Amino acid sequence: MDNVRSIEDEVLDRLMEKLKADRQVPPGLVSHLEEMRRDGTLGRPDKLLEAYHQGVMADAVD
Amino acid sequence: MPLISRLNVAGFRGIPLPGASLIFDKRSMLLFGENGTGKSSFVDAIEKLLCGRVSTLDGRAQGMSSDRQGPHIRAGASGPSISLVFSNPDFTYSLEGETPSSPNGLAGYLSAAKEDLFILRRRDILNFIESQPRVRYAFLRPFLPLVGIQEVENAMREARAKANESAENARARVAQLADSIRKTLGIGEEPTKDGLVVAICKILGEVGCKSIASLEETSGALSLLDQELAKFGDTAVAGRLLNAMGSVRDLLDATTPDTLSQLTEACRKLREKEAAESKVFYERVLEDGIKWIREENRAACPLCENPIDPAATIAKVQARLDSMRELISLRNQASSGLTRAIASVRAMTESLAKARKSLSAPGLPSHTIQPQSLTEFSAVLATLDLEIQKGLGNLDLDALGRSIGVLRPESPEKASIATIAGSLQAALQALPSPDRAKQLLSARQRIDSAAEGWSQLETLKAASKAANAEAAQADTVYQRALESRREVVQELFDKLSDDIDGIYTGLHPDESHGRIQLEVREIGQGSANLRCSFYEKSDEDPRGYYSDAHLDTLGISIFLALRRWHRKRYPEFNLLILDDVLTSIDSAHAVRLSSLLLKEFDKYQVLLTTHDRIWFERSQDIQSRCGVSANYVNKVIHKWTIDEGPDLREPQDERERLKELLADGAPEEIASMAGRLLEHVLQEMRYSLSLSVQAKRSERYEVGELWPPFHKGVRKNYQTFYVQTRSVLDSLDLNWPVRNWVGAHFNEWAKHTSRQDTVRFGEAVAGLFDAVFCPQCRKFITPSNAPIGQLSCRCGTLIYPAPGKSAAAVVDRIKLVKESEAALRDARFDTNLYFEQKRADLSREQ
Repeated sequence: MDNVRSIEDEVLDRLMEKLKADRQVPPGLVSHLEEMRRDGTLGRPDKLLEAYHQGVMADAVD
Repeated sequence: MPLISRLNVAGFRGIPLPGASLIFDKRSMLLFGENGTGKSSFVDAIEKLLCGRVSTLDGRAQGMSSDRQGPHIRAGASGPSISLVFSNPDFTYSLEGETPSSPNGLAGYLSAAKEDLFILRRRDILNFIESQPRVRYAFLRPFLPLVGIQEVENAMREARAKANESAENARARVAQLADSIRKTLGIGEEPTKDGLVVAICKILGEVGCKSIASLEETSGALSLLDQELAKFGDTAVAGRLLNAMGSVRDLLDATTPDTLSQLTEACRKLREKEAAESKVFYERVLEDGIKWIREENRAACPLCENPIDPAATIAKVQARLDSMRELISLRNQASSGLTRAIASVRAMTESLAKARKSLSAPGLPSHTIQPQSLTEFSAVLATLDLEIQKGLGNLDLDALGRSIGVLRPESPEKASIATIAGSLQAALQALPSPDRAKQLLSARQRIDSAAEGWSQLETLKAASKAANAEAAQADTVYQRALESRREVVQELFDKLSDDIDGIYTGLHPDESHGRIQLEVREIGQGSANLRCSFYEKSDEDPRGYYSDAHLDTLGISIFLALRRWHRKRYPEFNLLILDDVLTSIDSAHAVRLSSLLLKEFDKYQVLLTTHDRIWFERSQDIQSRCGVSANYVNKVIHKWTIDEGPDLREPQDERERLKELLADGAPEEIASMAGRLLEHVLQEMRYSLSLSVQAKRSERYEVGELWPPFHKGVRKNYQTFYVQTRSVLDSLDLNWPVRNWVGAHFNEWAKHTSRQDTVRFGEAVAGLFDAVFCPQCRKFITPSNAPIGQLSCRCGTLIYPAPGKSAAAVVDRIKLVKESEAALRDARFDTNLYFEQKRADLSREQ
């Protein structure tokens, strides 16, 4: 209640924590999503698709 | 922090011109007025000014709006006028209508006020409790700023859909290529590396060449075939002819109308079925409806909220869904057909490109090449591609049919391509080459084509795997986002629930219910359940067990908790209005609510209205007890009329005005003011002396109805007062009709009433007022608790002792309230003592 203004931040923090803890999610994808969050582009489907693609590619290389 | 110092309203709702004002003087206000005296008009005015709307009018029903019904019915053309005067240490500001340039310190206040979450009216108390879960969530939405998250979720959902579509397309292309390889090699099973090696070995065996152990040896096998072919001289032309012939035949095979005909047929059936349905089929709505009714045990329709029989409704909706299964099946068939058709057209286009490339190879006999027919065919495929990209709903089946016609073997276009193949065949046969060379060339072409196809297939499989992985990631991210949002919102709900529960159990201590809990529902994203406990029952809908009064206090608790949340977001906005919300609450709970408001909402500027006189009086005691009397203005609306609106005048102001008029006022002015003051005094005495007045539905009494019982009552019950004020009382008993003759209305027959007569009446009223109103404590006299027959003001400055007794000191009212509260709390009714005394009484009587 004290941080009502940052509910959105809290949701996104929680999402990133969950993704980091999920072994099925490549770390590169999480980093990419965190970068998108900083850039304010998480709300763009094209950027998300790019992130999924790069995440999978990076995972394949790893 | 901005504080309201004054509210001015004119020509709005029940407040006529020239208007009325509430003087807050930067304090909170407790406003008492009986029903229909204009309390809510002030609340409406504040809402109109700060929010631009009045929730009791705007949007409530068609044709109702604050613009239409807001102005006082006799306001005329001048229209309503509302203003709020704010003060804080830095500014004094009068707000009237839209204010593009309010002071800095007020901008946040006005912005927060626009959300209209600071007023609770009696009719809105149960809004939150009675709402459907989705509406309830919408009610909470202002406290859950998640617009950005909603946008992210939407983007993730869209990205997931696109990733799924890409994965599905990739799978279709893999299947298409695998099919082509199977045909080339003449195998039935799914092509595998080992299977390909076996098939190639078989081809090599047929032409008497050495087998290969792995696909990597294919290039070696092709070299060996080339070496064999070299024995037959220059076979380049033959090879190109064979290659061209193969690709043209592949084109003929690939360009079949089958998948497109199936699509056309499926679409036709689907459209016929849809046309046969008289109503639009809301499949998703029906499925969701069944789910909601089942999972929420709903007894009301999720759409219109009318009552339903859940079992019967589910059965009916299920029957409707069942009857639509054919439609659903047709829709799925058409959708799959479209996916296959898209892949098929893509394969045709690729096949055509390959054929054109092979036909453009150098050295082919010129008479075999007819590029014009292939160009026409290319145009047809382009048209087809455009058509099927329109999607199921927009497919032009007639246009599709025409294009399909071109793909049929008997069409001129196909015949033209077949002619090319025939020409190539003829040219090949005309070459001076033995059959052995032809077999070798054919084997080479099949092996080369399969090897190249396999290479592409592996690439496509890898792409498909990646697309599947991307779709899985997209789904995981989306699901985790939903989970995260639900968890965070639930945690906020838990905190809000604690707040609500704290307020509610504070109002209902030692009662075995509470534990209010808001829950995010598992189904749907934007919905909230409200649960509570009731004795041994837990996790229940409060409406199932709580009384109306308990539901009312729960509604008030929810509102106050939400108001606190809103304040956290907008600390500078401190206004809280409760408009006559205590209707069904008994006095004990109402007193607790007063204490709560005074103690826990002391940093708010509160406007509290009530029509309950007893609660109004007790609240003033509680103000003293809580030490916040100085923070409150306690105001009374004495009466209301259509022409004059709410009467807010204080008696001492009327007394001062009467004094001025007695000096130089006109007779009618004196009679009018004296009559008003007398009416005011008698209204107060009616309550405090419990006068017997014949009840009237409106509860509004004239002087003529109040004076006789007052005069009779004090003469009988309060002798000392009667004796001390006898001259005034006798004068009034004689002169009070003057008020009606010249003070209330103009009467032709009374126009000769002298100024002397009205002065005599006015002086008598002034004398009575001075006898019953204490200027020290600003209270009218009331009967003392003891001894019976004594009248006194609250502070004891005015005392009229009981006959034959000396004046008894007035009990400290605050102390009495505190002591009696403790005594009441500790009191125990001794039933044995009661029976003992009752038996003793009976035996005495016998």
